[in-house]
Formats: sequence, structure tokens, C-alpha cells
Amino acid sequence: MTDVLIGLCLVCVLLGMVPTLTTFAQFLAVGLHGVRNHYPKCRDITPRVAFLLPAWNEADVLGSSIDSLMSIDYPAGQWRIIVVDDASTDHTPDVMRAKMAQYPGSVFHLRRDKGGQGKAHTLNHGIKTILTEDWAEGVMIMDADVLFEPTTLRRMVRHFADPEVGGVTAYVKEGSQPPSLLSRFIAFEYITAQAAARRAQNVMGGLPCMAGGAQLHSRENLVAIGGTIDTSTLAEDTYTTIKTQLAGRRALFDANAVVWAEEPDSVVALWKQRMRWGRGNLQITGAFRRLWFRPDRNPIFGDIAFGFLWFSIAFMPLFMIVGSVGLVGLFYAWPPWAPTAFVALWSVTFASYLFQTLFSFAIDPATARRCWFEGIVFPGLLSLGVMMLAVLGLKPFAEAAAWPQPGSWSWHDIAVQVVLGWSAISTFLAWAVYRLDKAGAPKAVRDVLLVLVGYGPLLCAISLGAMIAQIRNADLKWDKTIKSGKARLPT
Amino acid sequence: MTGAGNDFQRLLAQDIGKEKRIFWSEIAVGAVIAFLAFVYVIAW
Repeated sequence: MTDVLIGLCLVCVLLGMVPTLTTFAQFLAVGLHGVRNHYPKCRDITPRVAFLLPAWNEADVLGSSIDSLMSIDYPAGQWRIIVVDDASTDHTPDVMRAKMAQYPGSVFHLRRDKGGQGKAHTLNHGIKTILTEDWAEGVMIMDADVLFEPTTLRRMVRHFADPEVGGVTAYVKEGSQPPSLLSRFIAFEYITAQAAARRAQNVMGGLPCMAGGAQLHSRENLVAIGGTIDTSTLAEDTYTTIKTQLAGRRALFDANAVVWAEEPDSVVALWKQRMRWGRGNLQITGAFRRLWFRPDRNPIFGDIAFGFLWFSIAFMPLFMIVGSVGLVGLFYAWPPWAPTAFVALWSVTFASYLFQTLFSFAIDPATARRCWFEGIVFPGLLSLGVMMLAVLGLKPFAEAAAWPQPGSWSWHDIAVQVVLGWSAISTFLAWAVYRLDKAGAPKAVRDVLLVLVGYGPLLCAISLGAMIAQIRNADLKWDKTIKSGKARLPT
Repeated sequence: MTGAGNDFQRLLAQDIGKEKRIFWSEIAVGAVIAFLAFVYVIAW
């Protein structure tokens, strides 16, 4: 019986390593993008592109977005901007009247009588109008607050010279000015989750998500996927990306095509945004359940490696909690193995953290210069301390390897168990930081706690919250992130 | 779709160069981590 329990605990510890190992493996593929990319198939083309901006009470950001779009480096008359106003109740119509007068023939305003159904419905209103005319050869689906660098569109459309390409997405950077601690955490997160991960996915041959903030489709592709955006999930960008590839066209990420966006500035707003993303991804997991781990059904999404990647990220908090349970279980089932398993799990985590952090800095040095601190403390200072305990063989903690034995409830024993269960505990502490922020704790207190507990555990806590909400079948609604116009293009 | 005379080649060369730089950065970072791991294993 004990042997079975020990075996189970060891399996749990191994499962706890899965997200670390898969994301590490994905990072190893990033560099290959230097020798295996789509650039040799790019040509100098400038198709007519319709920018589609869904807007619900975006008057504060719409004007600067339109100005940035009208300043891009692209042949005159080859692009136009269509704003779909989702029955805004602010002064969006006034902003639009002014912008249409400023850019006659280039900026258009479509207004829905009934709004609030979400981004996909709003987009569909615009796509229907665009596809009824012959003008657009490409459609750029974006968010109303996104700012385009002058060469971004040029960098994206060049991939359409290859008829196999149906969609291209850009690197969305966090551009809030002045930046806050949270916005710098997000900026670093986007190096790892976009600049790094999506390069690796290009190499692997399949992209799970083209960012909804800058998603360029060829007209042929939009028609091939039915001419509409799916409205059944909260992750309409991921759904559209997967449909594009299932319809036989490629979806690509161009890391050198950059757009800037304003991301949430409070833990509460971040929680709301990422809950939507998390629940959307769980819905996607269910919607395409017949594909995962079935290479015979689809070579991209059925691929075993791809499945590992998708599930280890979508269900990361479960893996972490299971890993913690395995370590604490070993402490009781077979104490001599607990330190070894602990050192193995956290040493691997530390090596992966070190590699990913240093490499992320090298991937995007400009962003790294302004968020290096957030990159270093991304897992949280406390988690870094746990990594040090593992890497240094627990000596500073247990004093000359005097590993405690279970049975007594001294402070020392409790501390050891806290360290063993740290993956799970940090997730719950991150949830506590969210609750404090929601209760109105001062920003300085929130920031200190965030540095201690970590941004990574916060993302895990949100994923866990999304899972619980899905299991409880909690009310699904489109909670839009409020933007205040803080994003700026770099000068 | 029509072509337009522009600095397409310059942008493309710049981006290909950046991808190559990232490739070599990965080799360098990987080598540093491998060296540290080696030293750690030997020293411990």
C-alpha cells in the first residue's frame, strides 16, 4: 500500500514538472525561427486593407488610434478604417464625426442599434459590410485602443504573397505611459507569451492564437471560414485562428510587426480580462475536443507536442497543485525521498526560469530595459527563495542538511511543509492579493505583495478561477476592459 | 494586389538579421546556463 502511495506521489511530482518542461521545450524552439521562418516567401505587395475597429464607449482612445492608423507607411488609398460602434453611450459618435471630417473617404462609422453582445457580434456587423463590397483584399481585426507603428501593416501584408497564408498577427506590446509595476509585468509577460512562444509556434507549424488586437486576414480566408467570427466562445480570436488553419491556410506571427496597447492597471481589471481569456480557452478546449492528441485527425492541433503545450498551459494551476501534493505526500509516505524530489522539481524550475528570463531579455532588449526588474521577480521573490533553497541543497534552511522528520508539529516542520507545498500555496496567496486589491488596498501595498508573491502565480490563480467558474457554469458575459488612452507609440 | 516601390528589401533584411541575432542569442544563453549547470554539478 505504501509503495503505491509513494509511486502516486512521485507521479504527482513528475506531473508538477510538465508545464515547466513543456514551456522550456517551447523556448528551445524559439531560436530556430532564425533559420526556419516565412521571410523567404515574402514579397513586396500592398493589398487594400480594411481596418475593423469594434468600439463600445471608446471615445477616450478612438481618436489617437485613428490618427496612428492614418499615419502608417502604406500607399495612399490602399487602406481604410471602419469603426463599428456597438451602440456606445459616450461621445464616440462625436469623435467619429470629427475623424470622418478630418480623413474624408478613409474613415467610416457603422453604428449598431443594439449593443453589448460582445466583440464577435460587433465584428460580424463590420465584416458583413466589408464582404458585401469588393474593395477590401484584407481585413485587419483589431481593438479600438491599439496603436500601429508606421511599418506594421507593411510587415504583415508581405506574408500574403504566399497564397497558403490566411492570417497574420503582430506582436502586441504594452504601451501605457507612465508605466506601472503591473504594466511592466505585462510587458515582460508579452515577451515570453508572444515574442518567444509565437515564434516557436511558427517553427512548429501551427499557431493557437492570433492576437485579437491585430489579426490580419486575407479576404479569401475570411470567406473560407464562413465570413463570420464565431460567437459561441469568449475567445473569438483563438477560435478564428484555429478555424483558419483547419480550413487549410496558415496562420503566422510576425514578431517584427509591432502594435501598442493599453493593458489593465489593477489586479482586479487584470483578473476580469484574464478570466475571460481563461474561460475562452477552456471553451476552445471543449469545442475542439475531437482534435487533441489525434495526429490522424489534424497534423497541427492533433500533434502530441502541441497537445502537451496546450493542456500544460491551459491547466497549469492543476499541474502545480498536483506537484505540491506529491511533494507533501512524499514527506509523509517516504521522508527520505521528499528532499530529493523537492530539489529535482525546483532545480528544474530554476534552470528553466534562468534560461527563459535571460533569453527573453535577449529577444526584446528594448522592452527588457524598462521591465528587467519585473522579469527577474516574475515568479515572485518568495518563489525565488524556494528555488534557492532547492539549488543550494536546503542547507541554509535546514542547517547542515538536517531534514526534519514528520510526526511533530514544530515550526520547523510546518515551514518545511510550506516550502514543499509552495506551488499551490503561492497560487492561493496570489488570489489573496486579488482580493486585497478588490477590497481597495493601497496600490503600494498591492505592489509589494505582488513582488513577493509573483505575477506568474497570479496568472495561475486566474486560470484556476476560470476553471472553477467553468465547472460552476457561472454566468458568461463579455466584460470589456476599460481603456483610458494611456498607451503611446514610442518616440 | 499591387506592388509599390518602397524600402521593402531594407525592412526584410533588418527583420531577417534580427531573427538570426535571436538564434545566436539562444545559443549563447544556452551555453551560459549549461556551463553554470556543469559547474554546479561538479562543485556540489
